[in-house]
Amino acid sequence: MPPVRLNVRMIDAIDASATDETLVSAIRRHRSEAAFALLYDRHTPRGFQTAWRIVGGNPHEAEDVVQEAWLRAVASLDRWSGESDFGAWFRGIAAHVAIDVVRRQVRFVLDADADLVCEESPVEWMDMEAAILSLAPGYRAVLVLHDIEGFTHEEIGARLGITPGTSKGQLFKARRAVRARLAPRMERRLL
Amino acid sequence: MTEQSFDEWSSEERERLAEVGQHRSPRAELRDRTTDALRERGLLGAGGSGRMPGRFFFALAAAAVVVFTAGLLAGYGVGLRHQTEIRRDSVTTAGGGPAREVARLDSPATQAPASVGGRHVIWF
Repeated sequence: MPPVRLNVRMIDAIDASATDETLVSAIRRHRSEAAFALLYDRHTPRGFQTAWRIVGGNPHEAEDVVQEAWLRAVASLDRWSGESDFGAWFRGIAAHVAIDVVRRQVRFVLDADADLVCEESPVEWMDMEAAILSLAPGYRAVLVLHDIEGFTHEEIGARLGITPGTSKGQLFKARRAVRARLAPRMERRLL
Repeated sequence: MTEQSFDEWSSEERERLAEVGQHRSPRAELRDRTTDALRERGLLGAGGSGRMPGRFFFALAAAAVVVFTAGLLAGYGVGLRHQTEIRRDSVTTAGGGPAREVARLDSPATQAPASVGGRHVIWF
């Protein structure tokens, strides 16, 4: 597909129906704020959710992650190939920034002896969201990236600096920990 | 992108997984904050490739003035030196000397005929 070329009149006419490629081109060539606003509205919600899950449910940190992710994304728009999904590309950046945030805040727990769960819940059972958020950051990151965001173990390994085998092992343990927290609820439903 | 792994989730668990964080959204002011940050880094807004910023024109005008003034001074200096040399030459030749000798040699009286011994000499 040939690159999209925009003139000033076309930028003024940018509307919600414009493709991601058109918007990206307008930002790259003309630093168009209108194009960025549309791109932001289109992809921020899912990027924010990704960040929110990885940082453990802190909305302020998730917002900081999203802002940093946009700064990195706009600065490196040349690296986005128009053939891939822009949303997935942006969520990848957001996940990367979120992992950096988690790394800075706490020791990234990925060894076998580490506690799986960050905090003990006062309630007998948890819902899925609370159970995932209660995991230690490293386990939570692996589970969120694989089971919710759809990354492969190879991709997770590259992002977290671990081997794919370690990623698989941590995912297994994280799932087991989440299930253990959900189990009482499931049993109650059967009664 | 997802690959099959051991200990898979049930369909009900998968549904609940997909819902995690889905109702969360950032505050509205995040957009302005992000746009401002992008603007501060020069990644958005005025100064785009299509428009020239005022600062650029000011720098261009200042550079033009500097170049013009430097040229003016250089030209004045060269002109002054040239004038001094002419004056010095006229003082030297006033009492006779090499210049008068050249004039004498170039006069028609002392010039050899155009054809000397069958050879033509052409003066440019």
